[in-house]
Amino acid sequence: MSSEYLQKDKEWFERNREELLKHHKSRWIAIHDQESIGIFDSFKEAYNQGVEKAGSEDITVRQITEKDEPIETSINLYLGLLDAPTYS
Amino acid sequence: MPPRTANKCTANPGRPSLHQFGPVLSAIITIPEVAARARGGQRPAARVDALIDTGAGSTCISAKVADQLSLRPIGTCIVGGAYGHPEERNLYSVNFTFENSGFEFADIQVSESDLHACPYEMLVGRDILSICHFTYDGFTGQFTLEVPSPRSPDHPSSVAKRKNEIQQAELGKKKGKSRKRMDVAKKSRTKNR
Repeated sequence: MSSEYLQKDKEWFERNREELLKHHKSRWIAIHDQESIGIFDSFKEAYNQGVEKAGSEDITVRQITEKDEPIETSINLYLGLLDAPTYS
Repeated sequence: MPPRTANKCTANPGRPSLHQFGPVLSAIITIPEVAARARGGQRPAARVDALIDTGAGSTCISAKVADQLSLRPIGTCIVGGAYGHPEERNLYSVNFTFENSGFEFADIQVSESDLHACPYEMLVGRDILSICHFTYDGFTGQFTLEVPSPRSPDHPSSVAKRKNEIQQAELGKKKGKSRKRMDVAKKSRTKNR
C-alpha cells in the first residue's frame, strides 16, 4: 500500500516522536528523505512549504500526536449501504 | 445518475430522484498548485460524481481517481468503521471544486477508500461540510449546497458587509474630525468677538 519513502519517513517520525511531542504537540511536520523540512501550524502550510522546499511531491505530512488515531471515513460505506442504491 | 451542480440544486422530473441516489454533485479534482509546479506545470484533473455523505467524518476518493491524477501519498492512516476491519490507506492532498460553484477547496487532506462497488468516486465528508450550508428537502426532492456558508466570514456577502462597515467607520471618523475642526473654528470666532 505505502510507498518506500513513506515507510522510511514513518520510521524516522517514530524515532523522533517523543522529542517532537515535547515542543510541538498538535502541530504539523513535513518530512522529506527522513529529515524534517519544518514544523507548521496547519496541514496546508506544512504541505505547501514541504513540497516547495523539497522540490518534490514525495514528502510526508503528519500531525504530531501521541498516537495515531484511526480516521472516520464513511459509516455508510462500511455498512455496505453505498454499494446498492435503493429503488422504490 | 444525474450529477447536480452547486449552489442551488434541483431534481429534474423524470430523472432518478434524490431518494434513490442521495445528494450527488459533479466535482472536479485536481492536484494542488504547489504539486503542479513540482511537476513542471502539469495539472491533471478528474471529473467525478461526489456524494454528500453526512455519515463520513472525512472526505475520501477512490483509488481509480488517485491513479488517474498520479497522486503521490503524503502519509497513511488507519481507516476504521463500525463493522469494518481497520485498514491502512493512503492519504493525499488535493484541490477540488463543485461544478459551477466558483469556489475551490485547496490543499485538502483526503484518504483513499475502496469505492469500487459504489456509483461514486468521491464521498464528501463533514470536514468539508463544516464550512458549507447544506439543506436536504426529501419531500420536493431538492437539496442545496452553498459554498461557503452564508454565515461564514469567507462568504462574499460577509466580505462585502465587513468592507462596508470599515468604509462607514472611516467616513464616520472623517466626519468627526471635520466637526471637531468646525467647533474649534467656532470657538475661536466667539473668543475674538
